[in-house]
Amino acid sequence: MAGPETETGAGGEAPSETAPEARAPDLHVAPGPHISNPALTTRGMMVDVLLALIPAAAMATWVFGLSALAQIAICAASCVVFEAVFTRMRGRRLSILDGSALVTGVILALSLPWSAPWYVGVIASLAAIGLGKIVFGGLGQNLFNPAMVGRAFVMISFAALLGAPAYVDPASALDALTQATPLTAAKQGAPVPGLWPLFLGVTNGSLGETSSLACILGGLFLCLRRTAAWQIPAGVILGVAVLAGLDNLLHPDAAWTVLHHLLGGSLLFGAFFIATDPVSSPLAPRGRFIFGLGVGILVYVIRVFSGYPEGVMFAVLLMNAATPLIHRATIPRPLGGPVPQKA
Amino acid sequence: MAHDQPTALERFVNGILPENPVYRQLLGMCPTLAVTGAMKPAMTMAGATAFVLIMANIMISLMRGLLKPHLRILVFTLTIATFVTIADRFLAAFMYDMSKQLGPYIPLIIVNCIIISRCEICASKQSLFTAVSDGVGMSMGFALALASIATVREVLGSGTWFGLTLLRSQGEGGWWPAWGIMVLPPGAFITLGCLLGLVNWIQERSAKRQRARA
Amino acid sequence: MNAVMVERSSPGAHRSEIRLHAAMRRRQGYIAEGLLVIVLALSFGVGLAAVHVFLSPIIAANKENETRGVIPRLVPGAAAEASERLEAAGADGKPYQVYRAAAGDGSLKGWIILAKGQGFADEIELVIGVDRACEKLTGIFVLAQKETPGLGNYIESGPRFTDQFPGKPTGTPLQVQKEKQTLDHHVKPVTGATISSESVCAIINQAMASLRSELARRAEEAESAP
Repeated sequence: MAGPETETGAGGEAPSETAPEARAPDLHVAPGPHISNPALTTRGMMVDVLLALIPAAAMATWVFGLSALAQIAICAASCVVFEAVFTRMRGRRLSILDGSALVTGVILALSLPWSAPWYVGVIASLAAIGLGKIVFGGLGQNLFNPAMVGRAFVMISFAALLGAPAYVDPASALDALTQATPLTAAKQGAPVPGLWPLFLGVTNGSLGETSSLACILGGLFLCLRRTAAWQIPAGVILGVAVLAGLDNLLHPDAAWTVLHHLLGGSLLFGAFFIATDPVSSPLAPRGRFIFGLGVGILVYVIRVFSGYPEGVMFAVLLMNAATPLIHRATIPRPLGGPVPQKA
Repeated sequence: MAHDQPTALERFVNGILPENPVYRQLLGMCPTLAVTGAMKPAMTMAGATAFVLIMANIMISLMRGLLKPHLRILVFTLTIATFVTIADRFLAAFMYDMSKQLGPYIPLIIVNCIIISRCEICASKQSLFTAVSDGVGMSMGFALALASIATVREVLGSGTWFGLTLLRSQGEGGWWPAWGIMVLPPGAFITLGCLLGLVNWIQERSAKRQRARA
Repeated sequence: MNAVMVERSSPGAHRSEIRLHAAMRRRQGYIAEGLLVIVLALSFGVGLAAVHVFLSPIIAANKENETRGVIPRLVPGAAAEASERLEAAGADGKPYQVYRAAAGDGSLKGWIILAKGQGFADEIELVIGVDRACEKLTGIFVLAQKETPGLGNYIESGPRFTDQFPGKPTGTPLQVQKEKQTLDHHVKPVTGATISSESVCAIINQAMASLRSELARRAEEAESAP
């Protein structure tokens, strides 16, 4: 119903008479957004995410050794410390107990290569918490996914330390580390790994991304717990699958198939853990799906057409920027008609 | 009216910090962001802007009796454009490397709001001496702002200052992990934001202290 | 119009007279202002013309020297002043700027070619030096590049990427080889910047493919001429 506060101007008709009777409204019954599930606290969500990250972290430790654990410890600790320092500087209540900084730190660590020196983790955490989160006003206010802001910062800063060559250590005793990451290999036309190693995660890559199995386990847990919206990973996977599938149809004998696209790189890690950040992604279910789809399409475009082998980070950041637009387009209509626009 | 205007000394001092064109007035953002990747181009830009600003202030102050309100912007622009062209040609002739590196940003001084705002606020209303001291003060404030940003960006981004190696970067066999992003455009925004925040914070603290004392 | 108003009422007449006066003054003011702008524009124009007359030779020399200055570095034995600029059309019809690098006595020492092409981030501009018969590179110099700082920009500075080019053959296309550079035409890339390194090689290869025969012909002509 057009509210009484609508200013229709001098010549406008009274809107209240005709509108409600004209058509029976479609009733979508859902709990009001303000009625919160008492179990769904920030802290509870963050604990869920941390639990869900355990398989990926365990897999990283198994593949990359203790350097993975060290990386996680460095990033998590520095994120928490920076969060404490910055919230104190702003004179706000300490917010580290909600665990969001810890989650940012762990996700950040898992998105870095095993070889990243300690200061890269610290600087990335500084950028993630400082530039990605606190300058916007802290948890719930940030436009961009903090972990990805931090990663982008160090990725651009220390291109030599984090680029494709950083992943490879020809002298390493660990078999995975002697080869280029699957996506780099694909980019340079080198032989690509089989699907089974990609699925299990015994290939090279950023710490948390290698094992599709671990990402799927954690991701399903998050979706089932409703901590992460299932529409986002579904959109991401669909976006990549459709584009890669089309490409596959056109070039049926290409070594890098749809499944390689889905299992290789950080696609699943990004789809389940990064794109689903509830702060920087849309709220409406339809918007979430559009967001996911956009991420998937951008990932594919960046992978195939740009100089970077992997595009999850930039795809998520770009779609974060588009989130307010998606919000506007997908606001659910309240019962009785559209919310009147201010003139 | 004239006695309400700040004196020459006030104009000079105001330009440096209290009314710093970059940190307090947020004017001239284009060169502030674009040429502060290293000290050398930043200081060349500061010098060229100072030349244009002071010369324009002198000319406008001398002509201030002849100016009519609706013509003044035209005359300001004409004057500024002339001196910008002179500065551009001089750089191309005697500092060719810098001129090439600064590229379009020297001709773009013409749209630098600092200059036209000083013509409007000070030079078109006050005596030659005041206008000159205002120009010098504002130029120093601008140079100070550019230098502070360029210092942060060049030291973090390349490990050098004015081209002198302070920290040997890893690319050259040293240990310093140069923050590449600082040399790139995002580094300009980040540095400017951080320094702006710092200046505001200091300002607020000193204001609070003054209030406490009063 | 004023006359009508005068007839109608006398206080109005007084007001209109003032208005008339003001209009005349304003018109004079317009003329004065117009003159001011014209005089300003003229004097500024004359000033700029003078600056231009004094500085343009220096600026032109600067531009010329930019390329010329590197000639002695790229072609051994050549002198910057003795070299002359010429246009050469490549085999693909693309015009190249070429310098005939000559020693102080005017004898041909080699050629300097300006070439550019797409790099990783933006266009890369190269100055390529080759020997007289255009058989071997004598050096390259990166005139302009905007590659990734800390990675691709080491094609210009940092551990010398460009040092490996003197002596490379022009007949076989250069090839980036990461591990071992066993053959003459193998180029060691800047670590982590394969695309930038490949771009440099591609620019050289293209310039060589399109100019090689033309320059060799010109060198032969110079040889046969007394």
